Amino acid sequence: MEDYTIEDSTLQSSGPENIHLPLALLALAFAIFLFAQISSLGQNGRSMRWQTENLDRQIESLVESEKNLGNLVKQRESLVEQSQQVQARYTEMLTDLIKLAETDADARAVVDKYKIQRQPNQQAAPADGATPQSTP
Amino acid sequence: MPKQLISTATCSLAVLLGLWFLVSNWSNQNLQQGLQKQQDEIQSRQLTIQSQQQQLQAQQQLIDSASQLANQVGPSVIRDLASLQLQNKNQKIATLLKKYGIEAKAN
Repeated sequence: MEDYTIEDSTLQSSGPENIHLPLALLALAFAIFLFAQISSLGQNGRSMRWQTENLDRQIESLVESEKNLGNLVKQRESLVEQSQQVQARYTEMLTDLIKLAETDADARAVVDKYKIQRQPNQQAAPADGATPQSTP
Repeated sequence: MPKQLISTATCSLAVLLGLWFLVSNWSNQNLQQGLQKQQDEIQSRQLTIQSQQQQLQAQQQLIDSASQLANQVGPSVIRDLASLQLQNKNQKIATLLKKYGIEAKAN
């Protein structure tokens, strides 16, 4: 009887020690993928921080504008009150004039000249196109 | 032995990078939320400013209207009324003018 020995290279290399090489390659590939992702995230993060700084500046500017507009509205309140009083006084007088125009020809002439009429909200006012004309 | 060392090192590197990835991702999510909050605040402030501008515009219209009435149309109407009162000796117009503190006198 002859003794036969089989030398199979694949059988020799399939031992537990040789699993390390494919595992290392797989881990390396995964590490490269993760590195690319982290790099991309870092870039996004820098971009977002830049945006945050810009938005902060925008908010500061808006706060300043809001404050200035608030002050301006407050400053004008007294002027608005005076204007309302003036308007109310003239409205009252023109309303009386319209009433008088129903019975008085001179008043009627003035009302016609300045096209004074009651507006839908019951305020007497001269027409928009009415121009002041001084009488000698 | 060196093969085992290499595989252990690369696996450790992958794990570390995985952790770094998670931390970066979490940090970016926080930044994103911050941006969203800032954008909401800007929108809210823009609305407030728009409302204030409308208020200012309404005030300006009122002031302009009263100014036109007090400086242009009003005095002309009063002048005409006074003139007619003097010319025609119109007592009704005289009473009306007197009611508002105006007294017409001939020059």
